[in-house]
Amino acid sequence: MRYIALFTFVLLTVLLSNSCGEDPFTQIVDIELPEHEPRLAVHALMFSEDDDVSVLVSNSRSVLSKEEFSVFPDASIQLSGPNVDDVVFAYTPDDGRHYTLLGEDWAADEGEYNLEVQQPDYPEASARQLMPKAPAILEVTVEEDGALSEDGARLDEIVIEIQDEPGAHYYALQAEVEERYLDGNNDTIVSSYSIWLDSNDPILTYAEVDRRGALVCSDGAFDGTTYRFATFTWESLPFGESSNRLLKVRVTSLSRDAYLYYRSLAQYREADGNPFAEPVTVHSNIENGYGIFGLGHTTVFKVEL
Amino acid sequence: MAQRIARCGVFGKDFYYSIQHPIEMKQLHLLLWLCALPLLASAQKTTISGYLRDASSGEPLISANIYDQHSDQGTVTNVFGFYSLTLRSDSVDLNFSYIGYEPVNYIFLLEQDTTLNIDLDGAVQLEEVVVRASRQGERIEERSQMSQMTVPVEQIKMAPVLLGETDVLKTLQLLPGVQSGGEGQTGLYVRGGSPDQNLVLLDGVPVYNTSHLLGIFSIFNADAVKNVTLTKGGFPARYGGRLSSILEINMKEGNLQEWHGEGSIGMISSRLTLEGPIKKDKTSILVSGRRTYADLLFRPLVALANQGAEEEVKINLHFYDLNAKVQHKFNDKHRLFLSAYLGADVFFTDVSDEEDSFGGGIDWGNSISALRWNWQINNKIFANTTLTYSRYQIDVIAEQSSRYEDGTSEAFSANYFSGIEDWAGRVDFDYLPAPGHYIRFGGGITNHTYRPGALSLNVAFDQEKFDTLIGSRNEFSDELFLYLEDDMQLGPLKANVGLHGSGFKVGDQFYTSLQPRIGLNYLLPKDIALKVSFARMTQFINLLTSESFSLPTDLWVPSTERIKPQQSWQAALGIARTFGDGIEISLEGYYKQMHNVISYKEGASFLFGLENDWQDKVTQGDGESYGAELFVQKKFGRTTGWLGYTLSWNYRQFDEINGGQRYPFRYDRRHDLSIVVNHDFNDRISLSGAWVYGTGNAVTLNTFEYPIGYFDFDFGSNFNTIQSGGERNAFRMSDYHRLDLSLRMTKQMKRHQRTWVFGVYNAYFHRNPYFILADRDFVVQPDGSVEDQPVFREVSILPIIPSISYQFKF
Repeated sequence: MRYIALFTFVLLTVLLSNSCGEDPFTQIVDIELPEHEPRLAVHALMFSEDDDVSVLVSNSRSVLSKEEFSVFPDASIQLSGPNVDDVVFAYTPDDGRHYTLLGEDWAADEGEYNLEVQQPDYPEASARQLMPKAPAILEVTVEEDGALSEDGARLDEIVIEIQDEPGAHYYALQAEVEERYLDGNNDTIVSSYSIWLDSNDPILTYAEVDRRGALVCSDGAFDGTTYRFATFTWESLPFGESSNRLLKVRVTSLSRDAYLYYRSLAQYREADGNPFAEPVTVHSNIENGYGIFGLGHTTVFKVEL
Repeated sequence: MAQRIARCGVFGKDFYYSIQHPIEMKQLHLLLWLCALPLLASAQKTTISGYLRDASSGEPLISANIYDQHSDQGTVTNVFGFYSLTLRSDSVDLNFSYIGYEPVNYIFLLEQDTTLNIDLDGAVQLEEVVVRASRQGERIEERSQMSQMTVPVEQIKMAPVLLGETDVLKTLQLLPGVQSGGEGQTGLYVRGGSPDQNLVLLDGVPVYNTSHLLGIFSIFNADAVKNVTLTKGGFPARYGGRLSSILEINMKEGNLQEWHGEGSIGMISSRLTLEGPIKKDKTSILVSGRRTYADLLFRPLVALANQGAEEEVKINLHFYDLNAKVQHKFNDKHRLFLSAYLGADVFFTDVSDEEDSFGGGIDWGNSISALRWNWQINNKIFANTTLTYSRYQIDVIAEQSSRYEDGTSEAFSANYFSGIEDWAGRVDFDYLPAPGHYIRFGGGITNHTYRPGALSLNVAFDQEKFDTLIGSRNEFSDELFLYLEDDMQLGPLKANVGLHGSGFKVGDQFYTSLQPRIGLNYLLPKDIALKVSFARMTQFINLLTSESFSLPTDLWVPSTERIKPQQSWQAALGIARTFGDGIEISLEGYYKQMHNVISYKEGASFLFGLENDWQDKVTQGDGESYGAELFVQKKFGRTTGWLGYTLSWNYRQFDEINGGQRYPFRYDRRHDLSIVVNHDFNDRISLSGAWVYGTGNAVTLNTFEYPIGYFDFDFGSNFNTIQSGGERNAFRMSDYHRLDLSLRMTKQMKRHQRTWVFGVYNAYFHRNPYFILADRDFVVQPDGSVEDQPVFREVSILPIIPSISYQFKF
């Protein structure tokens, strides 16, 4: 009996001493995060199709910091490489980015491009990329209702056949419909809209490339050979509605860093808010800083609808 | 004067003998020696075989020792209590012993093959069993198998309890080299492996999910269990299919002599076990059941809360399990067993009013059965044929319905389900041709059916109905194996050498694997055993589990053309010795490499992306773990217990995770310490305590952020940012430590024995973290102001939990 009494007394004492105070199931802990040294954060993704390119220069901060982010109008940016030497960047306050004109056909196959960014308050950040070769699109075929989605829906099919070269390559597939028409003033108006590509091919995953949806992959499954990407679109293509409609299929050969960035960013977005998702680290290749400098060489194939 | 302390059967006759009169023993030895002289000229071999059983229940004694003091040869019983010992025709002085039982000496003249069945009585007072430390084969330094621990059920029942429930897996987590995944989890992480790398066998049938109540309890009812053996390394060739451990849980077979029962009434669950003979000495049955009743207890409280409320809440939360076993002994050579397990967890809530109803929940469970035929072919060969069935399924349900005033209605339900189902058969042979050789060989085949996650959606809206199934395809595979091993004794060297070969067919893919196994035990001077082992293992089926949570929603999937089988090799080195009065000390070091270990890719999870092939969500890589384990155990006396300490490192490397850099596995626990003590104040009162300590689990935390976009509008500007943290699992949650206490008070009543068990889990209420999340909170600054700032918050789930339970035995 005395054992029961002693046991009960000790138990009650512990219970009472712990029943007051904060939430018994959670506690704030001090986790010693390594002191974060803010660095320049650079975002520069450049595509051969673009005749102007832009760079966002900002700063990183600790997650526990109360400091604000900044964009740096006074950042100095140098881009060097084939056809781009001596370009000058100008800051645009609308989107905080630094722009420069490169002109058409600036992208040189396998040319080495270097980006250096300086800002007085931070160490210099830099990155180096090789411009991939323009991908070789052999054929694009389009068939109305030619594809079947996983749940049996009939969708317009777009099959893109490319010739891959030996070595590691990374591709992004995009498409848009372009239409031309004459307005009341007999001016030719060109308008285009992007279409969303999808695929049952397990090597293709979705990512947002150059602010448009894309399917991305590496060439691990077809290195050095031809490959047919079977894709479809959930939007009906305007077949035969007009003779002035084109389907423009854009195949971009991405640099490895650009591919890793886009793919990891897509995973990051998808995992956001999902407590069961694995943690994702967005790829970064900026030396002495954070962010991405990536290149893409695009080939466009047009098909009349 | 001789007295009966054991019943022996030789050609149907009873012999009586006593070990309490040394002088008489010497005289008998002399007599037998003289009688045996003529036989010395003959080198003929003869075999003694039979079964060792518990005298009161008829339960076979596993790994009991049989040792002949004249020839210095010995053997052990197999899982069914069978033994065979081939000796020269001569006088023999056989010692039959088993821990916790009175040993028996049996001296006779061995002239021809002899069947000797021995029934051992439980030791009344263990302190009087003086020669226990010298019994051949029982001491840790004499066991040829290293990295193996057998935990008696009595020891499990003495361990401190959680909510009145003794738990097999929680006790195993107190052993060195075995870690728990975290607070409340029953998963075992053995020498750096993950829970799917443990082969858990219940009466020889693989079990795919071992937890109740989201991991707080295991599915094993200790009252139905006879013994538990965990092998962490040096795997004998008869085992295969998993990389990290073999956990064998053998059920009791049922008392062949008389009816007994035991049970417990606890705070949230109760259990009852009944066993007894349907026909004495021939057929027995054992039935053991357990159920929680938290839902029944809470029902009146919920009903009270619902009174007057607009919404009605219903909660259904319970688990149950049922074990049953029937054995029939045709004769000494043939025995048949049929065992079954059925268990399930249900958690469901429903909130409804006049118009709307929302409900959701999760239920999962195992169904297992085994039909086993023992056949003693002759006095040297024993065969065991087993047919088994195992099924695990989980359902996650969400439902919603609405009724409108205009009479229309809409309804939505989503049901995620997944599972695995096995049909298997195997044959195992034990062949004992001569002393110093125990040969095992056999083979088997398993057909697996997998449902790696499917989502059924049903929507009814006005006149429209939509019904679809996403990710519904079943997958199939066949797994087969053959093995051969020999347990040899070569003087002071004991060796277990074997080969395990396996094949796996899935689709058009056929994988094969040859896995050599070797374990050596060399007895050095001063009774120090030096042990070394090497084992290669291959695993064809995988468990997709999040590193952040271990949930019953984890998916079992096969190796495929894209997903290669996991492989490992492990080497271990150790020393062991028994000191003084039964204090065993062992020190082992191990190194393990794993290949093709599986993990979800960054950003993937089990629930989303069901429309995709599961293979697209996973990636494969390598694992490396190494460490040292110290185990000190005191088995006898009023104070018993053990200390287990593990120092270990555990890494993973995947090309698609953490930028391809090696990182610490989530359960990389540098230090893991368990101290378990049980003290018997007297025959009626005992106190047990367990203190565990472990380095905190590794976690991934984002430590900084930076913009990838910027927008400046008239009404403000905004940065589009991402967070990053550099290395995966670079941080640690708080260290885990916990003290559990348990007081047992036993009293023999008229018709039964009763025990009150008072327990407290987490006695000093340490908030052990279950997971960590980034949050914001108002923090008081040094100047007294309050600021809203980011914080890291650890969430615990199990506070201090007292318990009382009433146990009875009759």
